[in-house]
Amino acid sequence: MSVDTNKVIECYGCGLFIDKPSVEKKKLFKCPRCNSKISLDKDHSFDSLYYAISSLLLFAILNIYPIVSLNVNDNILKATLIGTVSILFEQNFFVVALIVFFTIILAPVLNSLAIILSFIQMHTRFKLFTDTVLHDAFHFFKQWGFIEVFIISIIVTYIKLIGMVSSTKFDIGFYVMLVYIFCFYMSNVKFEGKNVFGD
Amino acid sequence: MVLISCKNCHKVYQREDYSSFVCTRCNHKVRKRIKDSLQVSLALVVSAIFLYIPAMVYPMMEVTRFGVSIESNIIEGVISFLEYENYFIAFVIFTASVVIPLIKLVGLLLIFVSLKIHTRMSNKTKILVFKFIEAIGKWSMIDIYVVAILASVIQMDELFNIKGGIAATSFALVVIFTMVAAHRFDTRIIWDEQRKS
Repeated sequence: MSVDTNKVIECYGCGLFIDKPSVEKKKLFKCPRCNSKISLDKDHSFDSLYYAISSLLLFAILNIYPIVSLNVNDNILKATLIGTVSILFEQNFFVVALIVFFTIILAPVLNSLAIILSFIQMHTRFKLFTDTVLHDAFHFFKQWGFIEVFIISIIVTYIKLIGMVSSTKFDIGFYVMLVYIFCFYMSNVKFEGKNVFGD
Repeated sequence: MVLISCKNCHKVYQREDYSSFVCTRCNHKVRKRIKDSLQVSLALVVSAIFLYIPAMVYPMMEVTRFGVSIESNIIEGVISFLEYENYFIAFVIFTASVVIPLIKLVGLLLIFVSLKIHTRMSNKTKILVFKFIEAIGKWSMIDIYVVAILASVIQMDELFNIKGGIAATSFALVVIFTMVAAHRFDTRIIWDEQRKS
């Protein structure tokens, strides 16, 4: 018996193949067998591109300003995004430094770049990478970017530091990072990885 | 005829059998299930269990004040916050650094063992536990980031200085290993095993 493969979808939670048409209207539905959420294809939105460009620009600005600063005996101490990685290298924590560098700097930046390049390749004749590379890169860097965890860590650090040094304050970098995370999150939400294949 | 789909790009195919082939859309190899998924994930979880011990025992941070260095591991850090009546931070650090990694390790191990030994846990519960483990995975990195930020900001030589401890490497690897283990595990085999039995 032949099945229209465009009208079925597999639940990767339990391996059940489900008919798509009955749930076409919904963007998200649950597998009848294992209750896992199954997301259907969504339309590509240009908003994703704008958010990704904004993310990259904000990321550049965020690296200029300190995130947290404090004053100890007239010494101004500052924490920057790059500083958190470089200090780990200086203290010979190479594995931790690489993990931190990858999860808070490299993965988020490459994720935004993958989105921007996908749009460029889809709408122009310019081809730098294959569709597969862009699709895989988007999903891989999305999974390994932990910038939202990092912002919670900054808040925890702030509370920790304020107990030791009362002059501790959030600096401009922290507020830029809040906007950056919003743009970064929105660029991922509005982007559909599969659309890079142009089917 | 059987249905098989590419886990990478989700394209569905109708084939004669479950033999592997290359996806026409994304060029990845399409298999019925991820190859050696249980073995690889189990090996990573066992490695993470071994790394969890030094991560808890050895110091996570070294604080130097007026030339005097004090090293503290994760649990000692939590206790010091409780002593300073900083309950919120104590709760966050304890949850992110002790409870979450433990839940991940025990949860994954329980799911893997339940595939070979009969347990009362239903498949829906296993999937629920797995999804929860996947969702909380990265949040254990909080402590590593806190140490990194503190070490970068507090640098006043012998007067006031914060350095990472040797547990930081083991702890970071526990987080990464459990995340890769969860990502590599193909939950569809939970339902395959049930059908076999």
